[in-house]
Amino acid sequence: MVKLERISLRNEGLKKFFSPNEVRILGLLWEKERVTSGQIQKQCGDLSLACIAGTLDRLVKSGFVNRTLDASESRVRYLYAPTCTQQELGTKISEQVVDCLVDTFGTAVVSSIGRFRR
Amino acid sequence: MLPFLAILVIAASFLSVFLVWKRFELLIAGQAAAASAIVVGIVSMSCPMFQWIWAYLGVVSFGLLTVSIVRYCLTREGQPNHAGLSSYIATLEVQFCIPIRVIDTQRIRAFAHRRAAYLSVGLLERLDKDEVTAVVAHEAYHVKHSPSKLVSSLAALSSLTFVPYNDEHLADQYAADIAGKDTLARALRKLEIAGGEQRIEDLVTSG
Repeated sequence: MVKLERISLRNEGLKKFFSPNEVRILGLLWEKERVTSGQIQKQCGDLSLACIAGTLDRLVKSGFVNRTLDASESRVRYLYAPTCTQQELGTKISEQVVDCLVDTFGTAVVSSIGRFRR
Repeated sequence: MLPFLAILVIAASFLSVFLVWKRFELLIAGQAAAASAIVVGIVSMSCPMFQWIWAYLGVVSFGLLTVSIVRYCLTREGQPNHAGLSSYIATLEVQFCIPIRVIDTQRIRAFAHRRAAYLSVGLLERLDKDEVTAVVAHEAYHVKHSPSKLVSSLAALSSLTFVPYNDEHLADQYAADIAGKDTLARALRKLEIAGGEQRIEDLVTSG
């Protein structure tokens, strides 16, 4: 669930709903599934490990990213994967936002969205 | 009657901290700060003098509450064992005779609390096995030399809980004896702890 109070319409793209670091990491996860934190750090060289770790913990806690523990090859590590595709995320966020708008403005929202049906 | 009882408890807590940790200067500094804050408060509010004891007890119980909440939050996520990690962790538990809990986070965390060592998955991921052994040895020293529950509660009463009780240096020495100085130094560097460089220097110069 995207927290509604975190939505800022002035930002660009996905940054309307996520922090810039979250967007970068989500982008990486959509590109190739099952990534380790080390691979993420290589791709985002300018971010510190602590920063990446915090962002990953947050994404897992809010349910956008799933992680599994991999203790094979005598190394312990987490493997990260997104819980939904970019398309599914779009659907989820739209539903949430439209629900909120309908709650506030009622039928006006429905007729406004009707414009796109042609 | 009650104020005298309070004075007795406070005196006992002072004495226990002095006997256990021999950190008299820290004790005096902390108490002087707390006492002067309370005296200033009482004088400015012109209360009866005996109220300073209640004020003091209030400050102390606030401190106790804060500490217990912080500890609860830190240890809440510690799991007795993580699926897939059990054999790895069990070897370390047997080697050092302490229980080890794994915290489910990518962040790097290692600490000792209530006779157990806590390690995060992020730490296990970042460090090699011999470096993990060094970290566990360091925490095992803390576990084995941690004061009993009674003594730590008394210390909390004398509002000293935010001072690190155990000497990090001694724990580092112990870990270096077991895992080797170089290994511990490597682990400290990888963990990027505040004051890590100073601790490495202390290790090297202590011969």
